[in-house]
Amino acid sequence: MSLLSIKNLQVEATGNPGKPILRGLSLDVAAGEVCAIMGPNGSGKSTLANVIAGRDGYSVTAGEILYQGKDLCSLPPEERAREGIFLGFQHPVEIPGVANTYFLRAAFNAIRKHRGEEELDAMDFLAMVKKKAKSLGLSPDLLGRPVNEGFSGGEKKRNEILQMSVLEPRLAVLDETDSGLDIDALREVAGAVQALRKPDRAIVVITHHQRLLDYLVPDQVHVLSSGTIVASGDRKLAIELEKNGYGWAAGKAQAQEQVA
Amino acid sequence: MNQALSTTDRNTYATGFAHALEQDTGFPAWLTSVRRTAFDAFLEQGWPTTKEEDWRFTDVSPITRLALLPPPAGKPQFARDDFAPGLLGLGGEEARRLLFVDGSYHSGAAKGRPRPDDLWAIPLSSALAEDTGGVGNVLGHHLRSQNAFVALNTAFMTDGAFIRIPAGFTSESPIYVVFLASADGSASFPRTVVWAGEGSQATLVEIHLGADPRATLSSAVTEILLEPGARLAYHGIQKISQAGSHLGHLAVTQKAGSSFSGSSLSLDGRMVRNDVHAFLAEEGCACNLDGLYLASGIGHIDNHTTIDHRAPRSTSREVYKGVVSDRARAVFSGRIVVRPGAQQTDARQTNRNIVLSDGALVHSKPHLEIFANDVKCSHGATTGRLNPDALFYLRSRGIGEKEANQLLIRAFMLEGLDCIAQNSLRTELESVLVQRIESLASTGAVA
Repeated sequence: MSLLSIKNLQVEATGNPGKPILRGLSLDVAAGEVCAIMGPNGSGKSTLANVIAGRDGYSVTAGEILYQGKDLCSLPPEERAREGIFLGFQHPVEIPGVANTYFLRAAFNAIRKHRGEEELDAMDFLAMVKKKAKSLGLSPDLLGRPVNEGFSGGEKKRNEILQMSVLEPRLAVLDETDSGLDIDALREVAGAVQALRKPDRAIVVITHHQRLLDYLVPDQVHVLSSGTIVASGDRKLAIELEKNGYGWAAGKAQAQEQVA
Repeated sequence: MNQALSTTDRNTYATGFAHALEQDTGFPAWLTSVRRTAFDAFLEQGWPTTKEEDWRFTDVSPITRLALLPPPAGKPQFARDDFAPGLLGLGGEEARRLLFVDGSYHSGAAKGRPRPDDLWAIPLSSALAEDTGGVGNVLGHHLRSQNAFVALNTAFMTDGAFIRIPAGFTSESPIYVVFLASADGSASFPRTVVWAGEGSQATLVEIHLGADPRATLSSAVTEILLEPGARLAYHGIQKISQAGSHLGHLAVTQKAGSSFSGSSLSLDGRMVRNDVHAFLAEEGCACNLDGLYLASGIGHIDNHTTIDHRAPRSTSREVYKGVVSDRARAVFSGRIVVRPGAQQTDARQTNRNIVLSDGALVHSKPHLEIFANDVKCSHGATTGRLNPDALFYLRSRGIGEKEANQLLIRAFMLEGLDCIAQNSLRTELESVLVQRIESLASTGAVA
């Protein structure tokens, strides 16, 4: 059974009815897989990520999102997170006045509590986070600072991966985690995500560029265009795309439709 | 513009005033004359109305219908459990604390007359009875507004604190002055007089508490004189009853090189009005005002501040922040005046508000009046909701909606306590504030 199974999903912005952003999208991701979603700007990639995580402002008008066999759509975002869903933000939010570790521990313990596990005290938690931060090349100073406030682009993205590493999700959706990173940082961040691959965890990566996929080799690659998946394949599809551009993928889909 | 008093009202107040004068036989003659003048001023002007600019958003007519009941005779009584324990006992058992109930002295003064070179924290009534310590040099000399409530306070004052910090004296631990509004339907007029000597250093905490659901009125006046180089931290805290009203008038006069750091924390109340008037009379003063307010239910909290730069090279910094929920109202009016000749003034003002519900409302009115040409002045005001992106970010990590709301409100408000130098006092107030924020959620304001 797929960990995530999206069937014929149609989504529009709540404030803009009648203009669907996702138009009948279907996708299956099994535990242990890395699934890459590629596509041009405005194709609906971030909408897909946000809808999986439960962000306000979108209406699902048809279809369903099944996670571990259950429909997600009625669950608030915090319950999705507690069930093991993690969204890596394209633009991590700065939260002045809330210390990074305080925030992470509140999140960590909320998830532990939901699982019926014991909450971790501040000392033990800090030791664990420091260790993980170090392995991600994230300065320990950033742990005590307010969440993402004054962080560089690279630090923000590493902080996202640190959160993923601490919260141990079953399904991680990483929305353009590679954007804004230089080549070295990209390699490091991709390597860190690669290290978080596990047989019982699925990772959906949303990206513009195939470079990330050099380090984080996907099991499946899908091209999203105008709210639907227009091409699917494996690693080779990403390379072909890089060569021929998104127009090529969209054109191929049109040709297929005409043949059908 | 004011609401003239009816003949019946005039007679009622006049009887009450005659009674009050009779009670206070031990006070010096000069005070009687000050009180008469103030009472006449009140009779002449009557109550302020919303037609007056200073009271545009704050309708005091419900208060004016309250009878001005004299405090109950005999030693004032109260039940400790009726009041917020965290605030009543602020500073711990060892703290230097004067306690007043319904305007009358209850407990806390040290025995015997203080030595002239020592710190004085005594009931105002005893300072006045002996006309000692220079109380007459300060009381009534630093008011720059004579509105109805200030006038009434002067006319009807029964007691309060007299704090005198000798020149060069440094007091490490804060002095606490606590006023309880206890008897339902009562009105009290606490008066605090502070004289900070040259180069002295001290912290004063003035607390006004009420007990739900009693309707009480307290109209307080605090006059502070800072001699050259004096440094005073003053923290005013109000948690009056949800049905109660509190009007506080703080008048500060600063002499050369003095530093005043005032904070105000308004946690509750049907109607709260805080007026601050800082008069930077001489060169090189520093005046910092930090305000925090939290209004819920049908509460109304109004902060009116004036910082008057009269001489060169003074700085003022003002940050007021509030959270308003349900159908509550908050008002902020921040006036900064830079007089001719007050060159190289550096004045900054910020007001930030968060509204938690559609029915909540904020009026924010910054205004600068600048009559000098070499100055730096800035102001900014914002009013909005909690940041939805931040809320989603927190929730997407598993933090519940209510907790996420509270986390953001705390982050917004707690910064306002950073000005408190004493760690223990700051920690105590943090927990009081956090409790109040959590109480918002339990009334359904944070949803």
